[in-house]
Amino acid sequence: MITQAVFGDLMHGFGTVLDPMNLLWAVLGVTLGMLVGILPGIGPALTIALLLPITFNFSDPIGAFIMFAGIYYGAMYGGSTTSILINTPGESASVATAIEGHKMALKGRARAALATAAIGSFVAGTISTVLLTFVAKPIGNLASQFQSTDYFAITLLAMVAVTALVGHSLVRGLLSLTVGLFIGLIGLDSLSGAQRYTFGTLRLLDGVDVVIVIVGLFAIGETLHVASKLRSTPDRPAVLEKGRLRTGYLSKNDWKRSWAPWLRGTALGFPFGAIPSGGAEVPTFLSYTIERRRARKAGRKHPDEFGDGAIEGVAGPEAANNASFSGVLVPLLTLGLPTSATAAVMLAAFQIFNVQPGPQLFEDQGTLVWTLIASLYIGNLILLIMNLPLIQIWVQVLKVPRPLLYAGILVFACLGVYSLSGSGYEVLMALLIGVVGFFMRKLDFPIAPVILGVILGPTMEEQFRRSLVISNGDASVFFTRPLSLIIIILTVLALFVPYLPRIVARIRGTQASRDRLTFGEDD
Amino acid sequence: MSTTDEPVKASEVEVEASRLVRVIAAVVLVVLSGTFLVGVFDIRSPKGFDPAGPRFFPLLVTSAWLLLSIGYLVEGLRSPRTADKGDRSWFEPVAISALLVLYAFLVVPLGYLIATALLFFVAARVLGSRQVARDLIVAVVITAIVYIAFTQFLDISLPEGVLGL
Repeated sequence: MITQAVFGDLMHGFGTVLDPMNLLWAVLGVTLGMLVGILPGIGPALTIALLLPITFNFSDPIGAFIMFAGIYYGAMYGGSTTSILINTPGESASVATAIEGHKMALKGRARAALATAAIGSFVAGTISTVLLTFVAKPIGNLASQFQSTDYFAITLLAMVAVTALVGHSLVRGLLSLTVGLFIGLIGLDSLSGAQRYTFGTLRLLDGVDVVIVIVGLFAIGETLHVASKLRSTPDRPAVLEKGRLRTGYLSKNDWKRSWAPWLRGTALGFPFGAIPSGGAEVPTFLSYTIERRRARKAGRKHPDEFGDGAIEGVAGPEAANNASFSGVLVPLLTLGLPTSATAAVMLAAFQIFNVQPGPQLFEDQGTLVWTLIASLYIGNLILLIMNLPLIQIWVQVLKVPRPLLYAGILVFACLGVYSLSGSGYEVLMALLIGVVGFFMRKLDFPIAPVILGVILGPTMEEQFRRSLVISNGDASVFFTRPLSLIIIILTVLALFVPYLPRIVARIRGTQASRDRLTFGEDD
Repeated sequence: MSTTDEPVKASEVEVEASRLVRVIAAVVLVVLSGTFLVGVFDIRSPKGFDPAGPRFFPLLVTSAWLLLSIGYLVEGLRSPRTADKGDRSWFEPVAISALLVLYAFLVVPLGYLIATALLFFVAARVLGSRQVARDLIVAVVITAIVYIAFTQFLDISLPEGVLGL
């Protein structure tokens, strides 16, 4: 039976992850994730990028991936802390949490808000990991039927859909994407050996290393941006109320009100993570909206607290953002398709270790995949144990002086890119890209499409040209194969999604209240 | 928070830069993409613009880039005049950039330890720290830890420079 095979694989994964060294990587990963989740402006994508060069020298990639995954979902836990306590979301995925969460904190219910966030994250993380466990391999098998035209189409879909959903303007998003695609073009063309945009320098023959792009855009770009607005400093954390530790964090009524939003959040987060929608923002805001609507409808039962610290508004989004992480792993592992910026950075890590995610991954790297999945179960448990009792300690991180924090990020950014080839040239290149990242932040261009363009662009071009070579240059191959055609149609439709409210309003003959659906930048 | 029954916005649309900066950025984008579009012809391709050849994708990407840049320029020119937000400063980012350029050139001759400790110290100062003694100690300790960890445990060589360790 399939179930039994999966169970066997998973047990094998647990066997590997319980190795003390791998457990250490898991603890290190989730701890780092918690920390960067708490710190506003520093996200999992940046953290993984800074660590990439260090992990080059790992003999075994399993430890590195356990750590990277831990950073990703650890950040989802950590993000809620600052959202609730100081109304400053550490991550874009926690923006929705801040709305009700901070209100709860102001009413002296910070502990309950933090608890429903943490327990909800654990519940959602575990349920969605179970889903991932059973869904991953069948989808991988399905994906093994894919041909190069399908790969071309789905890569295009991922890039366009994420670009359409992230950021405030489609023009700016697509500009970001084309810049990323352009950077991906630089270097020797893999199929013909022609030099493209090397500007006569040998340095650019191998292209621009993706680590330089990521470190430049995220680490250096963010530091320059922070430097430019030093004068507006964040508030001090709200003080945690002295709770009675032994009686628990959630009252009976809190449990009763939290469990259903947890489950609904999970049901939203997992599928939205799996489709190219840019990660956790869409499901978290959807979850928030749904919980608020339900509260309105059920207004008679208990007074409508939304806008005034409703626990449902914390429980739902926090479950959704953790569930979305396992969802993101589905296309990443089975198709090699990142659906968020952090997933794109993880894909870069896979490529650096010469591990090719995709249908073959489960056969070629069975141990790696199943250990990674097993590590999610363990990591979620570690986070739950570490999170609640130690919340006072985590909040201390916010006391690290900003100047020292960003000076440290610069040091690590330089170290990472310098160690790529041992010359100052990489530092200059990263600075150049960092300056681009600085202006992108100032001009409100989304960063995620650049990363997706750099990482997916070369793959997309290769699949496109391979399809044409196979078909003897007949471009109709992209439209005659039903699967490819469907995906290409979806891609075109994705461009209209941001304008959906306006279109719906026009059809109904009413005035649209807002111009477009917008979601924050993904990390 | 609003009490109407509408979906929530992640953040209000707000661009930090003034209209002037946006227009300048758009012009730079138009010039860059135009140059790169012309640069497509410098790519050696036996079959010209054959879709399976090395010129086709660059052509697509740079044309799309150019069109979008023009669109962005038009958008910028049509938008109302706005001023830069007052609390943003240009001095710090320029200083940090200059510092990184210096670092790139000095890391090998000076050696990793000295160059990096200086980078940390000066960057912290530019970023607003005023506690000289604390910053110096942190700079030296962090640099030393990184240096030892990388050269001793990860086998990545870092320049010794004038210290000649």
